[in-house]
Amino acid sequence: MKIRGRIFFFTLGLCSILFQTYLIREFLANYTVNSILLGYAIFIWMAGGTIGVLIGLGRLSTSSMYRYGFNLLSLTVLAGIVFLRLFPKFLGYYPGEIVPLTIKMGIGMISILPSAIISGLLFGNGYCIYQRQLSASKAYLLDIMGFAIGGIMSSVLIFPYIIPFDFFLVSIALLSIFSLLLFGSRLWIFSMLIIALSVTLAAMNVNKAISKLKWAPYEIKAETDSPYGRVTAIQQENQYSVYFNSQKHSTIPDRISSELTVHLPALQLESHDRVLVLGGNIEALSRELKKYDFRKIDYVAIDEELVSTYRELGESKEQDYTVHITDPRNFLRNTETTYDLIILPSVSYGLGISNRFYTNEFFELINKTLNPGGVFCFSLDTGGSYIPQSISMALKSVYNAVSSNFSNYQVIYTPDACFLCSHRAKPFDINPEYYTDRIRGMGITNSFFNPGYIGDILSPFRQTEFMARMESTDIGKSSNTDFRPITSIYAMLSSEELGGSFLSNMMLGISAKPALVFIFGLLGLLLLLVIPFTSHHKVPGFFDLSLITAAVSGFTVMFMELTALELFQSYYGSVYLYISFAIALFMVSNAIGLEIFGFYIRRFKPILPVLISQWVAISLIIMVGILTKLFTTFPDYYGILSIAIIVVSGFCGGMVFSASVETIVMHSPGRSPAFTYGSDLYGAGIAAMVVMPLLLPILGVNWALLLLGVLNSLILMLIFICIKLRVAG
Amino acid sequence: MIDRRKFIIRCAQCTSAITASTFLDLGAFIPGGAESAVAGLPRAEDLSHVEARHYRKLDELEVECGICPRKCRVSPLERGYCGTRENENGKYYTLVYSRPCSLNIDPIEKKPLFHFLPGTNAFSMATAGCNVNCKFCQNWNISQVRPEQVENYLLTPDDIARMAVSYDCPTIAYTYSEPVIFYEYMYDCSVKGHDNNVHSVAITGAYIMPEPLKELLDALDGVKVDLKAFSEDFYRDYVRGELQPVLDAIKIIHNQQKWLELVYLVIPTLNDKEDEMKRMCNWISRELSPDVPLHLTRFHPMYLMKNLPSTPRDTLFKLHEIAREAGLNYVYIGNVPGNKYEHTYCPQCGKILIERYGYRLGERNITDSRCKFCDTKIPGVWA
Repeated sequence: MKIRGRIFFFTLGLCSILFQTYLIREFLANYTVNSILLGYAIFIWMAGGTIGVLIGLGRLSTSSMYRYGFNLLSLTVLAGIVFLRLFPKFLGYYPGEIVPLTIKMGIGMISILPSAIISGLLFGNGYCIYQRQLSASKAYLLDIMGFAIGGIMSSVLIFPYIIPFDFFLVSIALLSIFSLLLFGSRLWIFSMLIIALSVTLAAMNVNKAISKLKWAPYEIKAETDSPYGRVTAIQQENQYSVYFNSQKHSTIPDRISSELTVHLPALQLESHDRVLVLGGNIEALSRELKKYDFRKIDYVAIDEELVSTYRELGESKEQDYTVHITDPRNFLRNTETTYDLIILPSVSYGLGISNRFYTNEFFELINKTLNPGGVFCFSLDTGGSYIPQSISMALKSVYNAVSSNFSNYQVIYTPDACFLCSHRAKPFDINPEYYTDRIRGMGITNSFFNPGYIGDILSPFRQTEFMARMESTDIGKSSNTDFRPITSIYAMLSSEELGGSFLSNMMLGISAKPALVFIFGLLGLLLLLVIPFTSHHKVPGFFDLSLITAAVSGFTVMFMELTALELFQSYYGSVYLYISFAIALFMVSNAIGLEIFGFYIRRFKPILPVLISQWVAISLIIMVGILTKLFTTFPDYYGILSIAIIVVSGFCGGMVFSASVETIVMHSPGRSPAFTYGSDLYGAGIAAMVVMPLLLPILGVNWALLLLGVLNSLILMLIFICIKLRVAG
Repeated sequence: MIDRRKFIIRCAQCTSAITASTFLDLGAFIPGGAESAVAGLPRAEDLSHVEARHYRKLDELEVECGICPRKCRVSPLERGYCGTRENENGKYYTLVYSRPCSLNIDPIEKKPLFHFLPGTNAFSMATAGCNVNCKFCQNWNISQVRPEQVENYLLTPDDIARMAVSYDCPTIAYTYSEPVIFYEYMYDCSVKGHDNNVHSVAITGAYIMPEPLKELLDALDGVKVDLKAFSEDFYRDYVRGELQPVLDAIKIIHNQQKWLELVYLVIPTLNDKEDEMKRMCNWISRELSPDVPLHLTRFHPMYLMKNLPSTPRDTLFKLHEIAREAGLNYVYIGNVPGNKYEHTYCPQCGKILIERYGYRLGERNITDSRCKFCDTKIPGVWA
């Protein structure tokens, strides 16, 4: 029985991470990936888990749900995946049409929540069944271990090499067999049906059929899953459109954007020796670069599948450029080569990429790699004939970052904002005549960037307008940094989904203090929602605060984890394996915190562990906040800091969880400890929703962590007050 | 159960704690708004308050707008669909008069108008707002918002006419958003433009009622109409408008002998059917004239359709062939740099009349509105 319980919770953790990752990946692969949606998807999973735990501990505490749960989980995940892919079509959205944010959120809710609830329900119900054999901390620990191993498996073995849908079908069949072995023969009909279903779906190649239906009437030329998302190429006549996670990445053949991207900076150079291209459609860009006498073209991209797609569909078959598959940040940090020209092709704000490629720290890396007379060029969307307020603020924050890193810079409003950056003494000449003369002088033939269009592209009226706009946009000295990615919030507010909406206007119009009161008030209310569930303990005062402590702890831990991952990616790049390593490190730290502190606190009075754990957590958070402030000045070392935060947050999480559980166990044994798990999940879900889209860009890492310390101190004070009241009572 | 009193006390404790934490001086988190865009131009601090034209007063202080076929019935303090006209105690006001938000100097070929003063610049302007909701709008940042959501200049019709002269633009173009929604401003700018020898052209979807259109045409010199499709279904689903009133408006423009060019944005798989193209070209030939220029332009995905593919070149060339076969004399392909259908050809002798390299003109073979080679009359406003 004890072994069965252990296997149960371990498998639950394993399934949860695999299915959760797959569902969230599928959500992001079908809709635009931005921080709001990512946070929301995680929140749905966590909130669903909380609801499930509560139901599992309440109404279904004595049911035999745990026997059927794994099979039910498989079916809900399968339904969720199909729903995610096809529901917009069912609602009448054309393939490629932007689905409004509210509809996306509704679809996310319907497709992710049921699986999350069942997963939480299994924990709650399973805990009630196995509580005599396993403590809540042990169940949690086993769940975490399954989680960590599943996470590593999915990162190292599954997503990089296996088609996720095929893997999913195999895993639901295996899970059915596992359920049959673990819970006996009563399940055999149910299990056999699921095995038959997975075999049938695999035989019918349902994965392709769903994609075909999703993209109809367009014809799919190729579709592959990479660790970073889904690459789809559709064909019409002799033209291909390449999509990354359902967002248009490029068109083949492409003339207009590739000519602008290459010739605007390249014609500013006197000598053309080495060029570095960071992402984009290399086939189109290399065709333009070959019009110069570049001796060496280096191309850096993170997603091998995307590069292969461009190589396969591109016009040129020569491919005389060197491809480096890694994150551009890593490449820039490690390369010894310097370049005359570095090009960062235009990317959509919607991808949230502005967090990573337009920051002070990134520009510092560029500086290291740029020849003294070299030029670095990147473009940002402006909104066309009119620059909306949110975009002008985003541009200004990047403009500020550029101006503090380059001595010579110029923006060309094309109407994209093309930034030319350098340290050379000679100023950039952006007169139409200069470009016309150089193109003619060098004998370059272009379809678009030619004398026929240059007069309009470089219209002096438009340049004056843009510069006046930059001068007059007042965002103080704020610039986009890794520690405060302010551009991301402006980009989010100017997206097609939010631009001009009530939310966007409110966010842009609101001043600092009311904004903070609103955000923290909302957070407070969300956290207070835990209170009604504390009635379960029949002991008012102390225990309800333990649950709030758990919720705040979940919030704090997720907050720190996301912050750390953001910093980690900024320093080490978004390489899939590295991030998996970071998450595994978090899990291990969590388990260590849980075990060490759990063992330690069992020897003390019940009140003390909560107080000590909170005090230690607060000290660590504030210390890290101060350290982060220091490291802002020395960004060369913040990679270490990100790892430190991962370890600290994992450890704090384990420690506070263990303290809450052990304290509750001493006062109210039974189902109560599992409530702590639910509260912890809930707090973490809230953090997932607000940290990346709101708190980090608005507050920055330093202030966010210090405020987090204050929030935890308040909870500590509340616990003190409560204890005093009880003692007095 | 936890008692209510305790619950309220705890809520109050947490709220006051949270509020207290925000009184730390953390600096400005979401910094304030931007200032005027073009240096030296005055910025409007508020919206305009000029009485609208073409509306009808109804009972209980309601009004019915008569500018566009929506005929919005507007209650006091409410606005019409376009968001730029407001009912104030039974009087209807335009909020965007003298409040342009976007100004540019564009080649007239960019509008595109190929038979209207080729090779010149147009002083281009727009206010916020639109009376339709195209899912593929290229200027959604101004067309799909209300005027108070953008930064506006304060420029009277006199100012606009003077600016056009000072920037050496023989034409004012009302463009980017839908000029029908700033009807009064467009009309007055056109009148002031004429006083200063400046032409006026409207770049419009032509979703307008006949009466205001006829009045407006007295002040305009040319109109470019975006005919977005030739099916009511498309107009309903992707434009949130109707096709028939647009066709009626086009006929009125043509019948009032104002210079007219049509643009058809070809969106792959949505309005690129050969049959639809044939029907449209036949309608143009029959109801208007084979001499009305038709621009088939390539779709670059924008706004809510921004993840659709661009139009393949082959599709455009195929549709061009259909339009020529239907008897249209001047059919152009737009947004495909360097294609041979950027040039104007003589329908009689087939020689190049105006050679175009993007927005620049090469050889010009039109003299006194006639082909230099075969003396065929070429319709347009050439000088």
